Formats: sequence, structure tokens, C-alpha cells
Amino acid sequence: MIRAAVIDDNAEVRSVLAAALRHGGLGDGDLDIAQYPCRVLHQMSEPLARLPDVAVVRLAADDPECGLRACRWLREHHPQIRAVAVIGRRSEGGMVAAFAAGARGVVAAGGDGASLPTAVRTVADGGMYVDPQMAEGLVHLALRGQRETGPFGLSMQELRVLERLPRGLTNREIGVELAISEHTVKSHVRSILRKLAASDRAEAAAIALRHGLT
Amino acid sequence: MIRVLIIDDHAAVRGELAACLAEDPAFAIVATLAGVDEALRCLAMARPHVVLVDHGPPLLDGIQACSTLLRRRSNLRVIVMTSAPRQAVALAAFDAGAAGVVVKGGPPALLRSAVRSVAAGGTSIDPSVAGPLVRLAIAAGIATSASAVASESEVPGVVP
Repeated sequence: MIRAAVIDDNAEVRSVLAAALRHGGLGDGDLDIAQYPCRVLHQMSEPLARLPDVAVVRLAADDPECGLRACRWLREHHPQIRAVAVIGRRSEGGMVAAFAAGARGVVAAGGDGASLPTAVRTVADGGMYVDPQMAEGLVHLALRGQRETGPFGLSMQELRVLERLPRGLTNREIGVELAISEHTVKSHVRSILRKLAASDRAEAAAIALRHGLT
Repeated sequence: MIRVLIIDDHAAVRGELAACLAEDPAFAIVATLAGVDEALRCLAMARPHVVLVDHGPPLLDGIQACSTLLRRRSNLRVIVMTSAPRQAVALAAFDAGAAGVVVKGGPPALLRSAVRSVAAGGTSIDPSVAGPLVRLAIAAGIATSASAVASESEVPGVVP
């Protein structure tokens, strides 16, 4: 049983999204759907009487910030609820904004209707879902993110780790801030030390401070 | 009908993949082969839309195979299958022109849905490697402002 909440200000949109979930291979017994308006969600202290597993949040074309706020609010107050954002087709900026706001899945509006239930099932199972219609854009961005390098040949992610070293954070704390594992932070730190020819974290932090990389 | 060609150096795995796809009558398995050389030889006759290729170096380098196949036929939709859900493998596969990356051992429905998606022109990212790719894309720092969302979105009311 997946408990889903559909979040949008427009009741008609909510029922269309709920119907798309019901008709998408998630049987009646598999799904329990609640509906909430977007604009009040983040103002409530305890809006969800029975907490859902997955929240389907539409980013409305005329007010996407409302849906993004809902995603951020959920991440902050109910991190166990996984958000799936429904956005305009081919909206690369919307997709990145939704993921940056904490969505675990992004679905393009106007698809064949199969994407939404698949996304809900995938994020309920702990995976991340990128709509195939928009995934090409995400792949291009990811490849660019991987290629782009900064000073000392550091990758963007290594720079993000480096700028946190002067604050004396542990690998675990850096991992929490960047939403990556402690193990990944450790390997970034090793790579940073090698690229900066620094002997330890303190020396790397000093180099970062000296070169304005914080 | 989606014509699918399967490349894996293990006969048992080829059989499993073919059986998994055969569950969906929309798929026709046109060939199951052990290596890319055989695949190149039979491309013209088999006329696949989608090629599933295993990435299991050193015996079979699926990423290299993907490039080779696409050089021969640029309109092929290639899915690279890997047993390691690693960011580096996924990125290398997409960089080589793959239309999809599937991590082996996942739910059979996921493989079928990946084949359908790429055949329809989409790009399929396995849920277990999507996380690192998403983080890299966010790091690339593209248009995260709400105005960008508004200008690119469709008219309100259009939902799946």
C-alpha cells in the first residue's frame, strides 16, 4: 500500500492527477490518495493527519514557486515523505529547480499518463525518477557538471567540499550538507589533497582561504 | 512492434533478458548475441530499433560497443546494462551516446519500461543511478529560478 497525497491549489487539477494515479496500474488496494491545496500546505504545522509516503506536487505554470515551496517545506518538516513534481513539458529549468527543492522524482505534464504512477512507485521504493521525456536534458547537464573544472583542476563537487573545510566540518557533516555519503566526501577530500599537494585538511583549508575558494 | 537485439556474453543472461521482454507482446526479440562483432554482422538483417548491451569488462565493454554500434547506425537506441550502479559507468554510457542505462537485477517491469521509453525517443535513467546524475546536474547550476520555470511551462491545466 502506497499512501499518496496530491498537492495543488486547483481542485480540478488534483482530481485529474489522482485519476492518473488510479488508472496507472496502481490498483485500488495499492493506493490511498489524499488531496491538499498547495498554498496552505507550508503554512500548516501539522497538515497531514495520516502522513503519506509520496506527495505529488504540481508546479503550476503561473505560480511554480508555490509548488517549489511545498517541496522544500516537505523536505524540511517531513523528510520521510518523498515528493514527485509534475512540471511543464521540456522544462529543463523546472526539472532542476524541483530536484534542488528536494523532489525525488520529476514527471512531465502531457505525457502518456504512465509516467506518474511509475514515478510514485519508484520513489516509494527509494529510487529517483526522471521522466524519459526530460532525462536527456538532465544527462547533458550532468555531463557538463562532470566536465567543468575550476582552479587547481578541482571538479565542482570537490570545490563544494573544499569550501567547507575551513569551517572544520567532519566528512559526515559535509556529507549531510551536500546530500552525499560520508564515503564520497572522503574520496573527494583525498582527491583535493592530491590536487592541491596539501598534506592534510588544515593545509587544504589554508590554501582555500588564501585563494578565496571559500 | 519494437525490434530488440540483445548482447550479453552469458547465454543464461541472454535467455533471462529475452524471457523478460517476451512478457510484453509489443517487443520482438530479433537476435540474442554474445558480442558486438556478431551484432555488427547481423544489423542489416535483424534491423533492431533498440539494442540492449551488457557492460561487463574486460570480456564485454558495453560502452565501447555502444559507440561502435552508433557509428555504424546512428539511429539505433542503445541501452547499456551494468551490474554496478555507479555514476561513472552511467555517465560514460550516456557520453558514448546511450539512450538508456539499466542496472541489472532490478524489477523486470523497469527493463520493459526502459525499452519502451527509449524506443519512443526518450532517455531512460535507472532509479539507482539517477541520484548522482541529478546532483551533478544541479551542480552545473542551471536556471534554478522560478521565473525560468514559468517561462518554460505549458499553459496551466495541462496535466498527465
